[in-house]
Amino acid sequence: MGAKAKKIKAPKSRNLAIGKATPYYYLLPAFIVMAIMVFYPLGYGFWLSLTDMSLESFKDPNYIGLSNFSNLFKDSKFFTTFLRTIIWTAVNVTVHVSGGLFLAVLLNRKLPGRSILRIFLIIPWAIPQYISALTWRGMLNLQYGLINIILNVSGIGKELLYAGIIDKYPIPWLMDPVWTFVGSILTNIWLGVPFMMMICLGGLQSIDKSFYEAADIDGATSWQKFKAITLPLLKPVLAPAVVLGTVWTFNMLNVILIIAGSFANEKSQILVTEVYRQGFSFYRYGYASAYSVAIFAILLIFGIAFMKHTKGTEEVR
Amino acid sequence: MKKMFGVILVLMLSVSLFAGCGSNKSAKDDTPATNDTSNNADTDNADKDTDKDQDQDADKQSNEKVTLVVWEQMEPALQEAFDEVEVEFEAAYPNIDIERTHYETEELRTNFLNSSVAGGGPDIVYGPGDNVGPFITADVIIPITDVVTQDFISKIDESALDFTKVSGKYYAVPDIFGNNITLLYNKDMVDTAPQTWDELVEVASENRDADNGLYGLLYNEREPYWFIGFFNGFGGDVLDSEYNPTLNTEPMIKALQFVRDIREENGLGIEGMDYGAADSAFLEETAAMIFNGAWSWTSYIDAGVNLGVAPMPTLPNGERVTFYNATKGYSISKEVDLNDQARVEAIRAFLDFFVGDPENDAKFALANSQAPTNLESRELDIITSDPLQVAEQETLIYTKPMPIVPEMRGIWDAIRPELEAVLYEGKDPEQAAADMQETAIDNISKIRSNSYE
Repeated sequence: MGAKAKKIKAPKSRNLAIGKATPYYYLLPAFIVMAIMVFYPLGYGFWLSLTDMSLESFKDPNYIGLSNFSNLFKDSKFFTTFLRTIIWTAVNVTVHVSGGLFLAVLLNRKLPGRSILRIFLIIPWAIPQYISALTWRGMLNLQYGLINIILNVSGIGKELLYAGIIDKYPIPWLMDPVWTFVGSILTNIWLGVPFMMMICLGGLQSIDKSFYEAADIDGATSWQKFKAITLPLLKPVLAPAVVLGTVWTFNMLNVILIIAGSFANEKSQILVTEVYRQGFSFYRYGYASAYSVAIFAILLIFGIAFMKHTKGTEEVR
Repeated sequence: MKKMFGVILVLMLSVSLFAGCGSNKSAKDDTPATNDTSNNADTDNADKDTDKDQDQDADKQSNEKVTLVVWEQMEPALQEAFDEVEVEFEAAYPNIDIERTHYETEELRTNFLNSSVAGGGPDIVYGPGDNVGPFITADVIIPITDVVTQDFISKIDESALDFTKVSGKYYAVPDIFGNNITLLYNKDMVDTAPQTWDELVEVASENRDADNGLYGLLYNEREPYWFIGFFNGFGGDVLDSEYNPTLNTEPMIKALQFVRDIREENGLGIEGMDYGAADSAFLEETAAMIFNGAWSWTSYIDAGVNLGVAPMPTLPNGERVTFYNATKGYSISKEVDLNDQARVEAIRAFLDFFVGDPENDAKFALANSQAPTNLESRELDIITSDPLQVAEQETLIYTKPMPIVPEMRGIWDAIRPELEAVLYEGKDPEQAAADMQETAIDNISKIRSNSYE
């Protein structure tokens, strides 16, 4: 009987709630919205990068294949700007993460006035970016800017000059494109640290205290506890935050625009500001789209490689 | 299956990060150009030149309720004036509704271009004259003479209209004219406005006490719009008749040397002075003179500065420092169906009311201290008795029209880094002029097409 018994098939249900396709039905509304709001513009951007769209061919752009990309990679300015963008992103994200982590570790301890301190530290994040950048622009002024005044009053400026670290004093933050770039980095560091601090603080507060208690019993030093407990357990929180921070910093347009005052001086520009310049100053929409696609590819490769290397999406065991 | 489901969810979540940006833009871009129907008629403003059949057709069509969509880039004072005139307009033309949407300069240009590709957008777009050039090249606006009559055109100052002229056709109806930089002085510190550059140096030096934070002259030295007056004054033109750059010239070398000497030789100003520094110092009465535009005048008066406005002084060559003037005005979208008589009538009525009416145009002119373009407006008491209007019209004589062609973007972008290099890095003006020219050629070749090497 058993061997001959026919395999009993479950009756086919007409109820969508228990079918194999059910999850996809649940996803469908979101997918439709995504298709209209995200995938279509993304695809349109890709399409534009294959056209010669400019002011003259605005309404009827011609398909030109990969010409925009071949011209992009032939342009030496693309690579110098790319290198500058890597410096911009690496310095910013490194200081954002290390500064944010340092402050988060401090705030995670029992400190007098901790909640007030936390509010103060989060202020840069709460102030609109535009206002912060404008304030920084004022602070970087050669004559009356706070930064140069501090360097002057403290004597640090002259020391830096004598030591050969700077070649001009007072520092022409807004007049020399290289210093403008440095000034933009300072501004963006100030803007970005609070986000990382909040992310790290959230991660730190979710770490079970018993790990530290066990480490204390074993006689671990603070550094050993930080290296063996805090950092690994923060990784699932920190890794996606680093990817996000990298994408945001790589594509940061406002700070450069406000601090530099324009996109005209190439020596203080990064890739995304060049996209803006090509698109909105020179009306080369096709070429600007090729720039955007290149940026997208760079960030995608970085994101995948980083997450894979750090195993950031895996659970900590 | 579970894994795949997880992957899809992660993908959805990641992509959703960008959804907010997409939806916002889309909502803005999709401002509808509606064409509601209703009753009510007004044929008073029917075109006198149209034939009888067209008049009958227009009568029929003008019964329709029309909503005119206007996108503008107006300063707050102009927006207030617009709202005031709009109320009167809608009372006079109950069958026409105006939907006004405000954008900043770049946003207006981009959104209008995008909406034109999508086949929507506004009927009328209002903005600075230099938007007109790109709009013509992109073929998104029509000559105003397709809609307005010669009678209407004759009411407007020809020099302002010429600003919008390309290939013999006018592409905008300018309502205000000016935007030029000129010499402003604090009457409590300077008795009489200097007429020559030497006089200016003398007066500025008398008022300078840098140790106590007092300056004779400050201005936005690093901005090409403030520099161009010197270049023009030395006889330069940024573009030739075919809109090719002409920057590597004697006037450019002289102008670069001259602006560097303002600080280095004349001992005026401060290193790195920009708009904010100059503006604040003049407001706080720590600067006796400033070069600034009409947009700033009321803020100085409101702050209690005893303001004097004068034409720019003459250069050593006897010519005045000649800044650009510019217009702002209304252009008509190419998406407007010229066969839709009701809509065409509505646009005609709108322009006639807002610009063709002398008193209304005067309101816009007074709102931001620029000259009205309506010739009759200039004769009105409210204009002739307004000291700022008188000053604006006096200084406007010593300016020249700014080219509106898209190539100007390539010019501005080429001047700025070289100007900064001359001012702050000691670059040789001759070398700077040559490098500027090279950059401008490169920029303009990019603007004109995707002409890849």
